[in-house]
Amino acid sequence: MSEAVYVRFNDDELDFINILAKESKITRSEAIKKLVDYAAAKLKIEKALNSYKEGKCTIREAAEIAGLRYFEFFDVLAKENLIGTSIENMDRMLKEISSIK
Amino acid sequence: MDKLVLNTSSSLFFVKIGLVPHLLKYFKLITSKEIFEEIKEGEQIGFRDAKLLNQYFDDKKISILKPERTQSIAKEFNIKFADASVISLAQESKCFLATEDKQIEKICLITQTKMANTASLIYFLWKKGEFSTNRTILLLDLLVRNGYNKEITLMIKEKVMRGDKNV
Repeated sequence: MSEAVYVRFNDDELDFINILAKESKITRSEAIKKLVDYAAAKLKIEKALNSYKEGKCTIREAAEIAGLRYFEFFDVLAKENLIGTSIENMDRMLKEISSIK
Repeated sequence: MDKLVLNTSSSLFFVKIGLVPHLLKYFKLITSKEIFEEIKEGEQIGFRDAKLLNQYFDDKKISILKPERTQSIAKEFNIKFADASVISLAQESKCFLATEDKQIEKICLITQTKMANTASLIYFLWKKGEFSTNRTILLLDLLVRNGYNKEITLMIKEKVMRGDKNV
């Protein structure tokens, strides 16, 4: 199902849409749709990253929020150097692992 | 030999830096069907690390076990089955869960499930004499280049450079 939405753009925005449409050889409507899809994907990833950073979800759940597979989202986390558990728990972890004979 | 439960997050780093053969000297590596299937899917969509990991499954170097409490842990903490399965497996096997997931870490702390991350396992292998100090530092640098938390690796690096084996 789709619905037509009336949106008013300023001159700069319209210039950008016209250039994008021309360069991509698509209509202005298609160019706007392309921009919305692109921004939506970026915003979903941003939301997922924030949720993970704030400790609201696991990596798997964050991947779902981002609309990505686990491996894809893991790469996103890696690009931000966000892989690894919390530093506060490291001493305890090292102590426990050192107990293994 | 102690068991070590693998979550996808930690196992990805194990293959990225070639840790699996060294861990196999000290641990029996196990995981759940859910994690195995996730890694299989990773290979199918073209992830190189998933392909390398699958080789260890094919060679029977990583065993797949069926945990009993996946459903109840998933329900109790409102998490996905794959996440719950590795926590359940670590609890039932009374062993460490290797993970890099902060949320799973919290649940491990609440449920008193033992856990380890890749950096702590490198430290363990250094203490055991499996890695020299130089090699340990190179591995920690490699972790950071692959997206690992810099603070954690720096902490371990300082301990290793000081020759600090007391924790």
